[in-house]
Amino acid sequence: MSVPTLTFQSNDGVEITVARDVAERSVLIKNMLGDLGDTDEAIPIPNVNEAVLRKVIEWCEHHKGDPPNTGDDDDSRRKTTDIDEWDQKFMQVDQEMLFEIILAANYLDIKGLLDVGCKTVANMIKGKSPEEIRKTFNIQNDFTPEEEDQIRRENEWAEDR
Amino acid sequence: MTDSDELNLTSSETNLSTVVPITEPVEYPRVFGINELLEEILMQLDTRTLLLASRVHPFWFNLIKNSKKILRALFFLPHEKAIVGQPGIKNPLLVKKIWDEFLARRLHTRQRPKNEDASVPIIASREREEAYSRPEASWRLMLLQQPPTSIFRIFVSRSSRDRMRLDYTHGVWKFDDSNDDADDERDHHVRLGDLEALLDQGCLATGSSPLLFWTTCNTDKWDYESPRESRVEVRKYLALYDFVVHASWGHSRDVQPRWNFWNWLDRNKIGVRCARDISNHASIQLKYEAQREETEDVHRELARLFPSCVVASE
Repeated sequence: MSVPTLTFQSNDGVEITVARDVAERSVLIKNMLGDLGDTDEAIPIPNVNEAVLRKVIEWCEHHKGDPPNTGDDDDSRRKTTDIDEWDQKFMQVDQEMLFEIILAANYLDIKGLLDVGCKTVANMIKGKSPEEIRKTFNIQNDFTPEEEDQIRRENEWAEDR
Repeated sequence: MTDSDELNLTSSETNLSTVVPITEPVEYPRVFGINELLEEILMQLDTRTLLLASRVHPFWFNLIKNSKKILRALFFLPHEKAIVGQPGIKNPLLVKKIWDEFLARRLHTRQRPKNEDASVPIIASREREEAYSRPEASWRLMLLQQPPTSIFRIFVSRSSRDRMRLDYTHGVWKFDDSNDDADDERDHHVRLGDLEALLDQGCLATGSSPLLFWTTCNTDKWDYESPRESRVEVRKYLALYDFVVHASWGHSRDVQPRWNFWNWLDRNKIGVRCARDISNHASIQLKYEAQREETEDVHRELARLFPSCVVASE
């Protein structure tokens, strides 16, 4: 007996076949299948290219046995900033890929992956000054000097001496 | 172009007088442009990095200024329900930084009448003092703990001969509701700026740990810091309430009546404005409570006095 599968089509036209229980880590896909029933046709994933889609599927495969997320997303989750070892390794990708994974996880509604992605970015920000954060992510300083100075004056007490 | 970019130019580049800096149009990362995602990321940060991050980009600034979730994490907005009788989470910036760097210090520019003893360290530098003292400094708007109770415990050690004279054990911080221009948006909680005013007005002196105050100046209190029994009790109260006022020594030692904490309570109870106008018109409701042990009855009574609090179920 074969495992029920689904086929995804990335936005660059590549088809990837996935076990159905893996694909259903995505709430978007799960709901869609609930609405449409089974399908043999490739499901287009418009915002995600092949490389990113393969990464996302890799994560879903590894985590297919995880207990479902508790819907409770308030402050209880804030405290746990540690990422498990496999996820840490998984997230060792360049910044562009990391951002693409987060966007894909957001679009496909994969809470666990979104969480790990956001925590990874947060760990890159932690302890950094605004200047260092801009540099890390190549963000242009879009404040006027006056605006920036006003914000700095409010929070300068918290800056390093 | 920012200053730091300019520093990165090598000397050979700067020598070319005709060089026009080519500013590549840098694309702002899409992840940081979606409010929900940026919020999700920022909520994972420690309080200090989160506070300072508002200077990264206007988009970050607007999110941090407007997200209730983030404002709560930064201790600017209270969590919805305050629970009496259950320990809150103390503001980490207060405990690790503001108390030690600024509140429990002597200053250059003004006196804190009860903190003027030589044993109180002076602030690290005039620059630090300026950063903390300027009117727009954000720390003043921060809550002491989450959720806030805005109840403070007045503490007298068992051995103190002055105990008999103490009428009050709990104070409930409260805005004066009768004030006409009171803004509905404002909550009734005690904030760090209120503590600054208490110090500057000479009502209290800072004690040996964050959020522990004394009604007397430093020289008078040294031998009262140590009794073990007191310390255990004070620690318990510090966990339960926003702050603790240690009142083991008598009320009459203040030469200046206006520096007397008890007078200050009375003044504010009848709705008189604080001498130094800070963010509030604090008035105090006091609860006389004869028994020493904290019971659920006490907490229930406190919750009645302060409508935004509920009693811990256990």
